[in-house]
Amino acid sequence: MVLARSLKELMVLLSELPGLGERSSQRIIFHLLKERPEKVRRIAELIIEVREKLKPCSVCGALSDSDPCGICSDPQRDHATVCVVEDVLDLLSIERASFYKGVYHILGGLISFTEGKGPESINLSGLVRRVEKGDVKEVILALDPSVEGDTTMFYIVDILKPFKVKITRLAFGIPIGGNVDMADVLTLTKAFEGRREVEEV
Amino acid sequence: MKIDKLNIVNFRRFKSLDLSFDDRNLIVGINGSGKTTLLEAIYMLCWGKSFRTTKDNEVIRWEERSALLEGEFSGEDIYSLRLLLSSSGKRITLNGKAIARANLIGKIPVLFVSPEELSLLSGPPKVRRDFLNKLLSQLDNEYLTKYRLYLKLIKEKNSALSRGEKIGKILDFINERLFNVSFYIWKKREEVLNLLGGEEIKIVYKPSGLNVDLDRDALKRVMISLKDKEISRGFASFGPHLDEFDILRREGFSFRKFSSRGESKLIIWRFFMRALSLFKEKKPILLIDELFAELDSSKRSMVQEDLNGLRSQIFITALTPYVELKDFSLFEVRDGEVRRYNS
Ligand SMILES: Nc1ncnc2c1ncn2[C@@H]1O[C@H](COP(=O)(O)OP(=O)(O)O)[C@@H](O)[C@H]1O
Ligand SMILES: [Mg+2]
Ligand SMILES: [Zn+2]
Repeated sequence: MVLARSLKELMVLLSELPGLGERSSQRIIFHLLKERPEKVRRIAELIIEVREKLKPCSVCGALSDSDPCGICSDPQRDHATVCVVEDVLDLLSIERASFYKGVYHILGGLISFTEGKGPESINLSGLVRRVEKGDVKEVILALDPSVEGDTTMFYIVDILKPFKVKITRLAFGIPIGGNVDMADVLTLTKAFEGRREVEEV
Repeated sequence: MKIDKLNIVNFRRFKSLDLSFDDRNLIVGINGSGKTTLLEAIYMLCWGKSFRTTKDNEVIRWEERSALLEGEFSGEDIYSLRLLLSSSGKRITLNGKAIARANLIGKIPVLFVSPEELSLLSGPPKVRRDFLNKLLSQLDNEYLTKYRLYLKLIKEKNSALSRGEKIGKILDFINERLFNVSFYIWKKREEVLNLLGGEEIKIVYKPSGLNVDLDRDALKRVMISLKDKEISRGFASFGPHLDEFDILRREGFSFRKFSSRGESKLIIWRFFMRALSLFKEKKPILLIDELFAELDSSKRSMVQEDLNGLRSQIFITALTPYVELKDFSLFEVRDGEVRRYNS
């Protein structure tokens, strides 16, 4: 049997997505074919909406449908405390724990020369601009305790050195390889409470 | 540790084998019958990789799509271990649970000795570094963790250096971390090399290939002094990946120039005996390939005496059964089958 062109193309495109192989993209498609049409339409609309309407917040870099984003424009939050995270997944995991009242800065990656990503490839200039203004009192580095996380951390400490801002890092008791976005609420809370000022390198 | 049972499917020339072993096992057979392959199968279960190839799939039987090794081990711990090789990669299962290779290493220590090991005396430094890494990783899990971190950091450093831009500051960050890990590795290597030297052999250790003492401050100065050179060359010129150590005669001469092949073999054997003695908690499984060939009968009885004193489980391959090994359980490999003789 020859597959319809649209079906074939969808299979190919889906299977190129991270985590989806040929098998799993086929399963998804045949599942969608049996779903209610309204639901499938809604999924399609939302995919387009998140792709086209969401823009990075000009303050923190998080994808949002408003600029500044909900967190950055929330007067209840402590705008003098900025928590630096790798990506939105980390932000979500910290928000889920719901003890943190400050704001965020999303780097959109970590420095990894091995993967060809130098300091210019992540959102550092935005962070410097925020700190430069002088309203930020503490920068919390909530980065994974990995080779890449450490390089990024050292680099941030270095570029923020001229600004006399307090820089702290999470106290990760979790074994090496632990990730911010995988940590449970208790671990995260403890890591924040036990955060220490970063010594100069 | 000891392997009691081994089940092989589509591993090199063997289609299917079910074997039980004793404490002392002698495997005989003509050339090409598959003796080394049996040692390789045991080795691969314990170490997660072959000693003959870095390409895992090479061991899959020609025209087949997957290979399976299953072993039952006893001793200080009891393990049932499975290693499956297929087009989707390697899967290691320990007591029914999938594990990463890093977590397998050291569970069942294994040492492989063959005439090829003569290259420890005459081959390039990498041969000796690899030997040391294998030994230390099995002796000490922390070494393996640190060594892997080292490899990751040195890769990151080389990538940073190859950008050739202004990376001075970042290089300092990476170097700082590298140094701490490097120093740990150097200390461990020195410790073990001191134990491996002995009456017959003298080991000269050169961290990062340099004639320096293992002194923190001195090495740090070297690292700093090399920084500019590294930036201009675009790759790391300092670290344990450049370590060298020479195995010399007591008087400081090399074996290569001043020994016969038989003599050198015996030296290597003694070297492995010392390596074996470093294992205090778990005794490694000892795999000896074709060692007896080229040894005269007096040297053979020396080896036999050493073997008698060992608590390790032993596998030896040979073309014919040697009288010195008459206490060993005898296996004969022929036409893709393994036959066991009950003595
Ligand atoms: N992937 C493979 N599939 C089938 N046969 C193989 C494979 N790899 C090697 N062989 C065969 O195995 C034999 C070598 O086995 P080996 O264990 O080295 O023998 P021995 O140590 O007894 O001399 C050779 O005949 C070779 O053709
Ligand atoms: Mg052989
Ligand atoms: Zn924002």
